[in-house]
Amino acid sequence: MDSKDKKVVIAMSGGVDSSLAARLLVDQGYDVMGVTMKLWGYIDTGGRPTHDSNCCSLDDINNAKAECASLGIPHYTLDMSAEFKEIVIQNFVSEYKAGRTPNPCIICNTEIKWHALLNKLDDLGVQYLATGHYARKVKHEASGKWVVGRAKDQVKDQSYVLWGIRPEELDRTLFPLGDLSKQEVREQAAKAGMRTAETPESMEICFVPDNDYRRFLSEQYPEVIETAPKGNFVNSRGEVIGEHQGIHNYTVGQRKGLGLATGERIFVNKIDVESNTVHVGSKEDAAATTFTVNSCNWLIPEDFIFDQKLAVQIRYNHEAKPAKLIRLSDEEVKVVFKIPENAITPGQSAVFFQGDAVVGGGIIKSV
Amino acid sequence: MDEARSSIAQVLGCKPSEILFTSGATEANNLAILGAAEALQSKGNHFITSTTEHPSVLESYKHLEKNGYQVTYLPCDENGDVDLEEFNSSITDKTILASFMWVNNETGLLHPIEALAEIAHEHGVKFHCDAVQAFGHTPIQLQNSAIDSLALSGHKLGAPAGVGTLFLRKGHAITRKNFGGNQEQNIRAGTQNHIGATALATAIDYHAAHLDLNEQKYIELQACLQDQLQELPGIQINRHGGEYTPNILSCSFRNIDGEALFIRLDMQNIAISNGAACSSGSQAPSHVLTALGFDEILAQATLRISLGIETTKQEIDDFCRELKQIVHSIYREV
Repeated sequence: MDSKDKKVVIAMSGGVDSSLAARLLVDQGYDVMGVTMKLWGYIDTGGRPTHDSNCCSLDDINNAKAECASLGIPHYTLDMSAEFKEIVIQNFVSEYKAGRTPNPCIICNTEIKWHALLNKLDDLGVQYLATGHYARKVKHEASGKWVVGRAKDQVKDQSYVLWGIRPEELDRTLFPLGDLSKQEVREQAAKAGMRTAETPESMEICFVPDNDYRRFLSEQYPEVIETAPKGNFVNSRGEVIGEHQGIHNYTVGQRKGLGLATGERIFVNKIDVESNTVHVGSKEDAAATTFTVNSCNWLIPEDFIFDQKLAVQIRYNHEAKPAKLIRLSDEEVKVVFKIPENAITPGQSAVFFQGDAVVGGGIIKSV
Repeated sequence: MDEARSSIAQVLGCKPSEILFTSGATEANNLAILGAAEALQSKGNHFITSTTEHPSVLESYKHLEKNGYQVTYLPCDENGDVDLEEFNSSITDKTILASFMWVNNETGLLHPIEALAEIAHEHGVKFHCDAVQAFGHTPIQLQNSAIDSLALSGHKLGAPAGVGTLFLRKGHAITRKNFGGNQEQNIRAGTQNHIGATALATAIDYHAAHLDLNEQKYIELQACLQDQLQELPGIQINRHGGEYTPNILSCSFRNIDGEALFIRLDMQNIAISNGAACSSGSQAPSHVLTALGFDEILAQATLRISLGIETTKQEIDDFCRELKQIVHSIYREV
């Protein structure tokens, strides 16, 4: 693609990945503009001993600004905190309330980093959006559509969290880091003398900086917690074996923090909102081959998906396994694994791969 | 220093000894308020101001409130004006100082400063004025005025940043807020900024000499600006009944994303002010626009257009052309 004069916004967090991505785009001849989205403030989230800043992190914004200044490109900060709160945080809270385990990063990618930001780019007269994700944009041969491909760096690969990008928005997307390993990114950043070369990896949910989502919920949404009653732990034989502290405290597959002394290794297998019950048992008790998925997004026409060979990944650190998809309705599909899988967790994303390409995905509804 | 002081005093119609040099208007406003609070505490502990003042004033009062003082923030009408009657009736026997800005920095509204000062005086209340945006556009003559202290800023007038002045009427004693020298009438300790003072005096002199000429120019440019702006979709010019300074014009846009508007203007190298300054850590919409009843979205889509001494009609036309193009491309029909 002839990059000359093409306007690109690079979404910059202030870390090394997006900063190097900005540099690569400039080197490739794009007309680049850096943008940092302000998504939340400590005042809204807690989790930090001193409320010394109103912004997500002024340091991060300043890092992004400084990298842009050294590249001679403009940088702007966009306040997307209202959209973030209304869409991402609200979904996070209501999912826990409903006994599911959300992945807010995916909602944020789909609805904020792509959908809302691209709407802004329309106003700015900018066609392309680039991010520092480790993923590739590749052509799906049979359909001729763009799909999300796994990154060269298989450890860092982030294609799983990008399934929700709408097809027309993926058309406008660039992933400059898809062919680089994390190590190469750091090396190139260091070689270029970039101030962000050594920035640490971020692993936690950004608006829960202390990684304690229960603290976040009880501090920020006490009304949700107060109305979440205690209930029963029930084992695989249907016997009540203890009292749980409210379903939002549990995740399918969780072993620690149950407060049950049974003498066996015991896991959360299922959370039943209607009866306010947390079902526990051995790991194998929860293994399943089928589950349903809704809120689907398809990157290629559905003819190329149903009854085709697929692999399905059911959480960030899961290896995609062979499965087939059955359409239940316009809203819902059923996934059937060849071999049973453990800890299929409602609220998490199921992502559909053909080879190394994401062709669609959705949210796990029930097992 | 003496020459600069005499020159400024002559322009403002006061005595040289009533002119104190400061690091800027922020310090002058801080000093006038905090210094009066301490000096007059035997008389009372109550202050009156308005909700649309500059942060250097409002935050001085917030500090005083934390230390047990009482402050009345008079609300404003849709223009941003305070009501003279309401001011009059809010004065108590504990009131020691009232302070109001002459010209609002975001909307350009002129407040009836002399009338407010007269009311204060009738009750024996001291009166401070933040006149940063007024000087150069409104004649300021202090000899027969009821104003007791008044702040001016250098860089607003073309002097370098880092110098300002506080007029302090003889007989209105305030308590010093810094120590270690007897400079500036024993009120503002520290080695004086000679270069800044000279530059400020020159700038003040220049503005006073060109007041009428500049005023005519600003009025013409302002009319030209308003004529062109009025054609834009979704626009409201933030001027109602009151009197406004001709060098500031505030306007807001409905159905337009404020952030996109500012970025697009910036991309065209047009420097313009808005309320939101997220990158500096503040996410709050402008307190002035909020006080005027603006919602957050409208406050964000508000432009403050300032005209400078060197602004030309050609620049106004160029700006309006760019703005028109941008507004048309981002305006969303509802």
